[in-house]
Amino acid sequence: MNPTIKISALVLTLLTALVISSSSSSAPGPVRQTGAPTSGTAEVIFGIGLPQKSNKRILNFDLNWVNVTHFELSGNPEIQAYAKQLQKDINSGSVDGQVTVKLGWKGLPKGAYTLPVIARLSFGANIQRDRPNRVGRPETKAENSTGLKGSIIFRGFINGSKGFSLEDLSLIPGSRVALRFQDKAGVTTEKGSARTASRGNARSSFRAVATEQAVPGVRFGSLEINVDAWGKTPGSLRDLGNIELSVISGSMQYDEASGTVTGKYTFGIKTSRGV
Amino acid sequence: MTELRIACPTDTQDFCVREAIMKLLFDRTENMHTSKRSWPVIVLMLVTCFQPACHSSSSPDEKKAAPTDIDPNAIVSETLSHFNARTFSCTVKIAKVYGNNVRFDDELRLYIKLDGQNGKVLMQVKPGGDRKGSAVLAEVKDKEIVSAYRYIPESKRVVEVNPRSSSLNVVIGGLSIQELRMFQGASPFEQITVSGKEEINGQQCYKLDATLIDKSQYERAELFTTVAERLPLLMRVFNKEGSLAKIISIDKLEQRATTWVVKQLTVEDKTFNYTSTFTFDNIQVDTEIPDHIFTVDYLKKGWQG
Repeated sequence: MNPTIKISALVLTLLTALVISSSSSSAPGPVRQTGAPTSGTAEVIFGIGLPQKSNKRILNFDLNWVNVTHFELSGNPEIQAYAKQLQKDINSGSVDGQVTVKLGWKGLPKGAYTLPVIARLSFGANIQRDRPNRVGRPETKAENSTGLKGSIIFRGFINGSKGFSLEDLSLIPGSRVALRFQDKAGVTTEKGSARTASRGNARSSFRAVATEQAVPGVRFGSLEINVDAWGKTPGSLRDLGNIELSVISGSMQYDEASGTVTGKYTFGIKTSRGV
Repeated sequence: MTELRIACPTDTQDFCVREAIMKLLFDRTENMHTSKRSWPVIVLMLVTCFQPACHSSSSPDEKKAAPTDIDPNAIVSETLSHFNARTFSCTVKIAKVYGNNVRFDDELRLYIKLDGQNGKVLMQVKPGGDRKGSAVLAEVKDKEIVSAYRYIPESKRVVEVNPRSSSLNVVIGGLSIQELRMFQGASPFEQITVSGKEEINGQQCYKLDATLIDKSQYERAELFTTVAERLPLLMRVFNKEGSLAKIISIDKLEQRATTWVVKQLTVEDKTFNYTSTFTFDNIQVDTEIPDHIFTVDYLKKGWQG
């Protein structure tokens, strides 16, 4: 190669690198946007055990295991490798978790079947960070966590044709919960108490409202399950931004013999950032 | 050309096919005097008859052909009548292994009392490990669960379970209560047809297509029962989307005087990706089970061994 051309090429490369470096350092916030948002699907099977402690307000269930049977993200090979690695990490057992069902009393309607329940299903390497009944916060900082974090929202309506049967929580022994109902505005169908219940839940950013199982035949309701999952991912892929999960299909099965709940859900995934 | 349709017992199907062809030939030969145009038909029949496919024993399609004069309801009735019992109790050991090798071993006691299509079921789960056990009492009327109660040892309470909703996704090891009752002689099927014959584990079986009475969980099933003894060997269950959801294999059967009992069966759940092996011991058929066993008070006692 001609030495002049070689030097010019080197200078050009350096200049390009400086331009990129300059633009990225001026980007707001600690995380830079590196690519277009991505999307994909994931199929997850998980098993939930019995509640460890049961009292009137908090029910914690073991998340016995999580198995991601399919995880695919569209995009460049790097992000596909990320998905593959995350699936591997989750399935290798590095993910632990709990299911917390929180029963609240304050500002909520009274009566035999008006005990509201906030349900949250979390997957994560350091799940305590998100447990609502935890006093204080663990040392782990959010920026050190990588992986998925998103919300799954189930909605159903008591009389609506769009509603679907969702009695998953009532299947779990000890929880004695069935779901109540919310319309799109988050207003429950319970007379005189709807707005109170709605306010109580809004503060915790949950939509789920369920009741003690005292109403036979309760079949429809709404429930929000938050899913957080962390895996060991390459630094360059650390932040995909907000990841939105939506349920494509899914169901749960309760086994009376083993006392376990097995869920199988297929999620649609959308990220706000890419790599 | 006359279409060949023959109704004959399947065991003698080969003979019947040959006999029918000969009869057809004979009829055609008789008619020959009135119509010489029948000759090409006879030649064609003879040529066809000497081809290997003419013999049902050598043709897989013929083997799988549905016997048209067999009453499917009678086959199911005969199959399940082997398990007919007024009372049934046993100890069941269940080894449930998920696709990711997570394993659960559980032991339970099962009491079933039947009166025609009505009955009561009590199941007690043995405490073990972190579990304090549990118990379920269900009442069945006209093939449907009309009431159910669950004992929760953690809170020492009995809660009523909505029977319609709980049947949706509740299983025991992998079997629904309806499937468990099937092995005590109660049919869970609505409409049944014989769709052919298949060889399962070296035994010639009828393949029965059936829709289920309770469609809340699954839509239809395929039952394979032996031609010789009408014993069930395999059941495939399909969901509403038409996908294979579950395979139930009867691994071991045992004859007790006039009845048969299942000693071992395997459930392969395709949806939730696990396999459960059931081993039945201490089986007692048609022995007296006191009525107080099927009460909420007894349910509260939990595991009794």
